[in-house]
Amino acid sequence: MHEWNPLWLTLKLACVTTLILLILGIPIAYSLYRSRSWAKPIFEAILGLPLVLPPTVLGFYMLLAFSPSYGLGKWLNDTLGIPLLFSFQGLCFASVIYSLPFMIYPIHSGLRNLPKAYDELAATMRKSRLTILSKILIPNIKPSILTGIILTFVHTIGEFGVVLMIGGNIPGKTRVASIAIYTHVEALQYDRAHQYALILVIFSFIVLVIIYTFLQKNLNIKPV
Amino acid sequence: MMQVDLQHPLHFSSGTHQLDISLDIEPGSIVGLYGESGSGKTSLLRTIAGLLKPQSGLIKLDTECWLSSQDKIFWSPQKRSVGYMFQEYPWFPNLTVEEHLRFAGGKGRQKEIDTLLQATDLLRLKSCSVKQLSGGQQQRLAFAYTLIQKPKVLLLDEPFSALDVETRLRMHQLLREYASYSDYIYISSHNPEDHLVLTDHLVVLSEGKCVHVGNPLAIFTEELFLKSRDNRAIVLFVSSTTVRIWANGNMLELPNTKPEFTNLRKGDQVRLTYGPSSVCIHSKVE
Repeated sequence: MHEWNPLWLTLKLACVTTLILLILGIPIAYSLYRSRSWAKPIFEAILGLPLVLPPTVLGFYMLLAFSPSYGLGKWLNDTLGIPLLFSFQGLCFASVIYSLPFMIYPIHSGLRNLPKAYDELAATMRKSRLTILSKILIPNIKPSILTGIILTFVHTIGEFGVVLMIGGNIPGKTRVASIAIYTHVEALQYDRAHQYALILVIFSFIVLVIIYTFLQKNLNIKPV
Repeated sequence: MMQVDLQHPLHFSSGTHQLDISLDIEPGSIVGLYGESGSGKTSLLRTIAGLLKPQSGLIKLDTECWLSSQDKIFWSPQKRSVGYMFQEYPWFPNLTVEEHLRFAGGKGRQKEIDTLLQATDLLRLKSCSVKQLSGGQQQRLAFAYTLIQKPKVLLLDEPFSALDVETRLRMHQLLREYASYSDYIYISSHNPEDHLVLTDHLVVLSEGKCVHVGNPLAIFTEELFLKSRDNRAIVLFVSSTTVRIWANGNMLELPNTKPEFTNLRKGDQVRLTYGPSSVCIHSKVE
């Protein structure tokens, strides 16, 4: 059972991260879509940083920010009793930040590609922003939302650098599959590394085949 | 009373014109907007709807001030009681025909939805996706989902352009039935017939300015027909006593009153003049 732990942890981390980002991603992408502020490019640049920065840079700053000695880490630790360093909660928190652009960009792009007339027509029908978003915009960007879900999920499964710096390598707690593979390779246990790697390859392949089949059959769109 | 006073630059490939319009409209009026493409009709409607913020202006509706650049007031479309039928009649791909009316009209109006679907001949298509409809059916749907809102100000941008003559007349009738629910109705149309049949006041726009305001019949007969393409007809048959022509979808037989008309040939274009009770050939279009 112990051998399955890294895979289970990886799956749990990917699911939790994707769910949190789905809840956060839609309002953030919608705010970007609506915004005409001069500060929008700055906000977009901040969101895009995880795409261009090495994971170790992000991991380093998160290590400082999550430290229980000061700042956010201290506040969460003292007030809510949530330790962020070397814990699963910390991994989730870091993954959400690291994968943020993978959820937001597809949704934002989907919203921007919708005809402006949808928004205008619904507005003249005196529908609130929330109604327009939930009843018209979201149902018409389902492929983009699904793309965001796929990218976030797959990206979290393959996460390594940030996870290693924030979570360390604690078996059963923060050792996800990618870290387990690294650990076994370092110990020259290629057989065990191979088991994890092969399972990840097969699992990722099956997930992508299922999703692409769904995309083609139900949404009649080209795969991402 | 609705007061509209707007100034806004209109940008076109041919250059920039200034939309400069000032109107005072009595309640219960149906106002026609007529003019060439790019004359500012749609910009005027979009500004009234709150979809376009003009450079400067004022829109007052009875006691409500929807727009005042001086007092920095700009009401969003949600706050204004407008129903806007867009020229390109947009629709939502995720809603069926019936769901469009339910979305526009709100809950608990099923009977009225069915009546409107029946009147627009869409009842048997109520469960269809809009992408399955023809252009004319889509336009009728847009007409229906605009009418069901029963707004104070009804804005119709080319509402009948994709309809055949018979359907157009039925939609005229439907609009008359719903007219009492709105205090002010604006109809933008390229078709003089829509204005002559439906509107009380005609506003003729050219390059963003009002060039004629008044009674539609007077403006069309006295000012516009001799200058526009709408008074043209095609010659079908010529004899020494009569000329048979095709005008605005109708075949007419007119007396051949001038000797030079004997030279007309099948396919020639002629210009007509419309009197109170008669139609005459004015001249040949060269």
